[in-house]
Amino acid sequence: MTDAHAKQTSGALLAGRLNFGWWASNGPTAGYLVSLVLESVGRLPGLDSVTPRSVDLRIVRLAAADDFDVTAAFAETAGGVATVMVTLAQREPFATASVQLGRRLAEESIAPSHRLGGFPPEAHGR
Amino acid sequence: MKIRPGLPPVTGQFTYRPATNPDGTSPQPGWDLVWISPRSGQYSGREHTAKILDCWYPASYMRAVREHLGRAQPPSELRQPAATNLLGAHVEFTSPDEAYADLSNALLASRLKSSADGYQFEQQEIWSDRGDLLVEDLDSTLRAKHVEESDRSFGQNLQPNRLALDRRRLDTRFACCNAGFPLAEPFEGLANLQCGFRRFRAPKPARTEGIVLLVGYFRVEQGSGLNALTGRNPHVPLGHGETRVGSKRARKRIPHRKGLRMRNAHEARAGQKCHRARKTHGCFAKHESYQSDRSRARALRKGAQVRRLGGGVSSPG
Repeated sequence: MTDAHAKQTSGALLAGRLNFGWWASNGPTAGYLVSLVLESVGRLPGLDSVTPRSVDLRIVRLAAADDFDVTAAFAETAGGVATVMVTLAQREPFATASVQLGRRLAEESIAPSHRLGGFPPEAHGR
Repeated sequence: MKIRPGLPPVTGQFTYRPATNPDGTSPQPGWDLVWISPRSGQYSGREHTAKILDCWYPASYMRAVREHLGRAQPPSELRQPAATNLLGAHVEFTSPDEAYADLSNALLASRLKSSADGYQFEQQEIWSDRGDLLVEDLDSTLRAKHVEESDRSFGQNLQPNRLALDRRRLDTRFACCNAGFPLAEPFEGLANLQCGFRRFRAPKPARTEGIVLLVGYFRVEQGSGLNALTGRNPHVPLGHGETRVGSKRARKRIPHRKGLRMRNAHEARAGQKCHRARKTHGCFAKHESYQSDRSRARALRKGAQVRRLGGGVSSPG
């Protein structure tokens, strides 16, 4: 399921229509675009089961709530880490992103050195 | 999804709840904190988690609200900050797979790191309600102030697609020549909301009472470790920098809702004796009210602060 009503086309990893329901002030949120990028990368052969570790997103121009597609410009795997660069376009690019994906290399995890605390979600009621 | 007039469409995707102290203060100045819950379905996985980024007001807005309230000026002098355009984000997924399994509640923290030459540099973090740092937006949304003077050249590059909004799916009120949304109305609402939380007596007195009881509960038990008390409470789950192996979770977890008992604020807690429990209902209620007032006063005298491990954050309203 995707919010972009996406479909896969021959040349594009993902194509569909940007969902206006994810607009912030005057464009789609970074979170929405990152989620589309992750969905696209997950469709690359061999990368569907590899975990994304980081995404670097750059906006070229404002997107419209219109048709879009995502294409992969570069994909390389070295040392167990895959790097994929994708372009989000509406006839011309409106954003680019590079994604790094990698399998779990060790079992141990270390919690972050700082911790945020907030009053529990139930505290103020709904 | 219905787009609510005057509000950014993305706010229709989530419900928002404040994470402030009972008195509305910010545990960690400079940060905005808000609880996020998806309206439709349950979020899980990195793809869903990422969607939470940017779904709350820009840090510059929250900063303006805090400054306004700090100056104690009338609402008419509240100035809406300049709108911003997103330029980019650097997102890192910082927890193991199992931390992304269930995301019915997430804590979104954001702050304005700096602002220079019309560019604003934000930082955002998404925490699970179990205390896992799920996403860190480090370089964060880099925004340019959309001020007419300084942004004209940049704006020209951004303009062409603004007209390409899909009008077939939009309320005509939004299908103007500019895809941008005026945030003035929600901004005022935001200020009012924030103002409401600043008063000790929040808009829902019953809830406030519950909060104070909760504070007392924490204080009494904190010496023996908050983990056992908090259950799904995000403050505590793991110790400071504690190493976690594999899918190991917080220690001494207790079942959900058993620790907080927020909906049963009048109910005597386990191990707490109430000598008047056999009174008639009316007397019992009176007694409970008296007890509640006492605990509230006690909490106030002691500062009514919830103990936190690590830094806390603040007050989105």
